[in-house]
Amino acid sequence: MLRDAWLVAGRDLRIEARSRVALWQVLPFALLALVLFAFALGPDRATLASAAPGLFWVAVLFSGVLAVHRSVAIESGEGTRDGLRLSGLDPAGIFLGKAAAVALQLAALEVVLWLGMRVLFGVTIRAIWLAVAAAALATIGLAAAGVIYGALSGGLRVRETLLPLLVLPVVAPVLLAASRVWSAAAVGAVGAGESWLRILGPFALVYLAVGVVVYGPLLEAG
Amino acid sequence: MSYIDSGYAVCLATLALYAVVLVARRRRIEREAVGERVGGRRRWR
Amino acid sequence: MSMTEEVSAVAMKAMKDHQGEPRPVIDDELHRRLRPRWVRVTGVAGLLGLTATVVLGLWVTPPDETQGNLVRLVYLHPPVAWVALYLAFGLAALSSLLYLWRRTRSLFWDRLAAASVEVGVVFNALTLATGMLWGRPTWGVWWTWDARLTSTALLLVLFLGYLALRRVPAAPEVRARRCAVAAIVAFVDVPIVHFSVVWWQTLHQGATVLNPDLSPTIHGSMAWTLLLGFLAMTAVFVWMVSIRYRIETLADEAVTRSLATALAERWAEDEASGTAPTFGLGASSVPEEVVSATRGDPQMSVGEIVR
Repeated sequence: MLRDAWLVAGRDLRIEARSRVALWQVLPFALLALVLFAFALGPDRATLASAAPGLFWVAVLFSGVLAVHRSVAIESGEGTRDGLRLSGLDPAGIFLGKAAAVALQLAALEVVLWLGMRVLFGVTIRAIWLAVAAAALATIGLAAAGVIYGALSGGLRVRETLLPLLVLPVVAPVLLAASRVWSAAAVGAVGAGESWLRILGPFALVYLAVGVVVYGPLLEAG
Repeated sequence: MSYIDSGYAVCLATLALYAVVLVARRRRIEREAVGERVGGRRRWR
Repeated sequence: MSMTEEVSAVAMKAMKDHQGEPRPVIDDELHRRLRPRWVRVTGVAGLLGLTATVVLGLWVTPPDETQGNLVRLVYLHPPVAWVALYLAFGLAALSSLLYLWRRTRSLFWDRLAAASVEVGVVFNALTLATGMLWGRPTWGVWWTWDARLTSTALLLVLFLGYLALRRVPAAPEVRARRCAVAAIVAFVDVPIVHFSVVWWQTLHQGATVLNPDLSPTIHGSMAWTLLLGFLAMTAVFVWMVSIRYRIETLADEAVTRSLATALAERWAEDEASGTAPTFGLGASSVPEEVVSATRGDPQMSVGEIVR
């Protein structure tokens, strides 16, 4: 299973690296969102800094939806789904691989986005390890839930409009929890932040588990 | 109209409207399915 | 039975009927099965119960000591919320699970889940509406980011997504599996949403004034009215779901049947003209002059004429 996951993740990432869509479209979109947030909230740095954790995760969420679209698009060509189904790869492995690929892309995006926020909004984070732990868990959760819904809406013509409607409410707790942890981490309130990891951790675990179970049937259904 | 009255009004009106829509949808689709032969109400009792 | 088998079975039947009197595919016997007596009984019980609840709630019961007349909304709001948040979505999740489980897999569960979600969405919206109408005079605002309100609103959006997914056309089995997975994935989210908004709320604003639990010194007639409200709303829910289920079943059958009769007509035509079945172009889509041009030469294919 893990070997299959490794294969699929490698394939997805290679495709992404060659097409460079994530690099030239998704990442600029996320940075554009930062600028738009600043326009919406005004140039006051104090306001921007206090709103920054939430805005950061909103930007990650929307970019995540785009990343999932990209991940689904790999299998949207004629017969590619059947190919995947007949390849003999473990569906759970395929799921874990695709989720890992999306998670890695999101992680890279978060790093760049964070640097952008650091420069543009002037935010600092006191408890770095807390922020990193939260980001890791949140990213895994986002990728897992996103890839499940991606497979769900895979072959559909209305995917572009349907996917955000399905995914965003489900990942709302991640937005909530991750923003709170980052707010806490920004002022160094470790205790308040830690308790939110108890939402992020189970969320990631639950959706990884659900994906492992339902990905096989979903591939059949598509 | 007080909040209480509007609460009851909104709730009951919505439920009634939804019920009417449901019955109308069922009737239309049954007509379609059975044709005119079993059109009347009494036959289904 | 798979979709294609079902289609061809109905097509065969329609073909046989083609010679004689056109016969409805759904006959009286099936109809009696589709519309059992208990549905009507439940509907009448729900209507009567609801009427009684309204009369008792608005006129008979006394005003509350602390809440005054506003307590009358309590006969409506919790029963509606009970139906939306527990009955409807619980039933939807349960039947989705039963659909996904191989041994109980049947389109019955899929349709039940769909019916239950749609009715649940109506009740969920009503929960929010009546809750807001109670919150405005009680707290002075239409909306607070209270844990219950927030999670109810999120639940509404989650299941609107389910309905949107259902509207995407697909073969019944494919749609059923897709929707069942979506329902389960959404349902797993409910406890997480709940805990996160509870913490969000308590960590951030301190406890609000919200305490929807009834005061322990509840008047006798109030308790009975509330109980009646719960029963009446449950009956209304059961009635609505059963009707919605029927609509879903008949709609699926209508699609299957129209597909099958189209196929049967095509076969009958091909048999009459002695040509092999051609599935590319229907006879009706061929222009009149083309048809007259082919007269006398039935072997000539449409493609040749167009050329």
